[in-house]
Amino acid sequence: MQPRAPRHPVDPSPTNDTARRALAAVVLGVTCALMPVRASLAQTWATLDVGFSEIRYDGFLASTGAAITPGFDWSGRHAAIAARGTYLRFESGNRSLQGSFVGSLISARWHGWRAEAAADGGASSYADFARFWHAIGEVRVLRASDHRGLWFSASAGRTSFDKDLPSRPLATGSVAAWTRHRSLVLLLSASRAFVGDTQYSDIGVTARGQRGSWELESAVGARFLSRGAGRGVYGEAAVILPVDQHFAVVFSGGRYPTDPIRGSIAGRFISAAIRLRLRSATPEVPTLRLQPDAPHDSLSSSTLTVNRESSGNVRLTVRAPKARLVEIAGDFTEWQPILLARTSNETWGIVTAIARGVHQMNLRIDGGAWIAPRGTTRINGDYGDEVGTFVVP
Amino acid sequence: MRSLAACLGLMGCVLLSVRSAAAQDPRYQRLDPDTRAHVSAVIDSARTVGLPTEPLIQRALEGVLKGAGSDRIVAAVRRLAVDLGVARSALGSGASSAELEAGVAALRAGATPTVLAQLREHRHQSLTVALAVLADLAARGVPVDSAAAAVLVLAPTARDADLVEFRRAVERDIALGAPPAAATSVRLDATARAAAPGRP
Repeated sequence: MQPRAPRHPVDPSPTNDTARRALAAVVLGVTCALMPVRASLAQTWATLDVGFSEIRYDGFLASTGAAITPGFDWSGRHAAIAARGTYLRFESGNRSLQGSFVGSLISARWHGWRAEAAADGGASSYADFARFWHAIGEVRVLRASDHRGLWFSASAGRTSFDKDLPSRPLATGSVAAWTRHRSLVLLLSASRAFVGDTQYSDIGVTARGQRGSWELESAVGARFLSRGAGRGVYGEAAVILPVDQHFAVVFSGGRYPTDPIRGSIAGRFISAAIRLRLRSATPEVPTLRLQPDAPHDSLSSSTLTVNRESSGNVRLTVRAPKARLVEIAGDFTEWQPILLARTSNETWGIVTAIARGVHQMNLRIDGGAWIAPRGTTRINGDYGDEVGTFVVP
Repeated sequence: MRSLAACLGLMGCVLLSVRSAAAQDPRYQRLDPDTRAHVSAVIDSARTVGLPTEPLIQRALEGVLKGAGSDRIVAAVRRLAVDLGVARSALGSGASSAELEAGVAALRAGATPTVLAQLREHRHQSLTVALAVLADLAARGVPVDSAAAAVLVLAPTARDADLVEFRRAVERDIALGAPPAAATSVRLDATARAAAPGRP
């Protein structure tokens, strides 16, 4: 398939770029391969990009457009979901809508390997005359450690480029390896794809890292052994400049190849956008929670919670069921025992001035031994016992 | 002869300063006389070389609370003074008392002075929380090199609140069953991760 008229001049899906898709897979692979994750590890991200782009498709004049791109990612114990959409309005007045969804299930580890089954679907439209869709199933086996990994994958599905034409079968195979050094992730990938009578091979290198507060991402690749999907070298880069916790400015640009699966044609672009990003809130519980089967006596289940008050003082709260007397001593009390006041049936507390920094303490219940309660980091003290440490930030 | 006189004079000054320090701080009265003398000597030596003395006093008072013997209290104070010195060598002479205390905690958790120096190099804000998080992670069972790598990645840009949040998340995951190293890696990815920038 040769590039033709920009029937679909927008291809906003981050997943249509082999390198980027592979990088996303790295994140997913690392996330899922590293551990027997519990549901508590589920993470949710949402982003909204609003910006402008200048696009020049091969063989066509450049065009400017304004884009709104919402994105959503969720990753959990044995599953992950990613969804993207884009609304883009060109200077010509034409509009484009696009949406894609990728969901995957990941198996438990078996001899260091995991298997992943993914479904990838998407659809798009340009103005009122071009419609595209694709539906792909993919199987991947992957192996990963903290710092490196590799995978092999194969996919099959169908893609449609025109509502009046029959959909075409597709099949791909790929292999990739990645390594991570501190904040830098480097990925090498190679793939071969067959889409109807079109076929092509891609190799690529993708890097993602951080320098200071800047987040950088770049990809370089080459297409070869191609029939109907173009050839050549391509590359793109993006830099994300955080403004604060939720806002960032994103600059990106480069050249990308034709994607016969999702219906985009080769082009080059530069873009600038404001990004709003939200991450699932983490519960405010600052301490280790009790295990459900933990014995429920005062000593083993006593828990310290540290909260800074608006006055600047620090509230220390001890949950000690069935306790009759709770004392605390630490470097903030000159290691003099202080009796806590009962604040409810199970909790005891005190508000006191504690300097910022790392502090050491012990707790005594009903005149017993000094202990390091839950909610603190327990370390071996210099006097043959355990000391609890906590941080006042 | 002059040298001997100078030595005796110096010793006298030291003894006077010891007595002075001990006399000025009522907290020393909680130590028995023998312990007080030895602890005071260590503390004054630390003061002479510019180390913070408050953590040393607190360590002695902790021993009193726990009924430790004189030898044990003196040894604990001396050990802490040595560790504070190591931490200061790694973190620089400008390190605050809180940073040095956190540095000691990190060293005792297994971090190397090199890691402390790297943190100082990478993070221009206070290191207290970063070091405390490092020590916490190690205490939770995260391999020290993994904990150090995680904190070093976050150190340049993360706020103290972000570091605390990171530690809490790892802590919670570990409590719920995730292997410590894996929990750290995952949280690190989650913290550093941003959605890939979109192409038009």
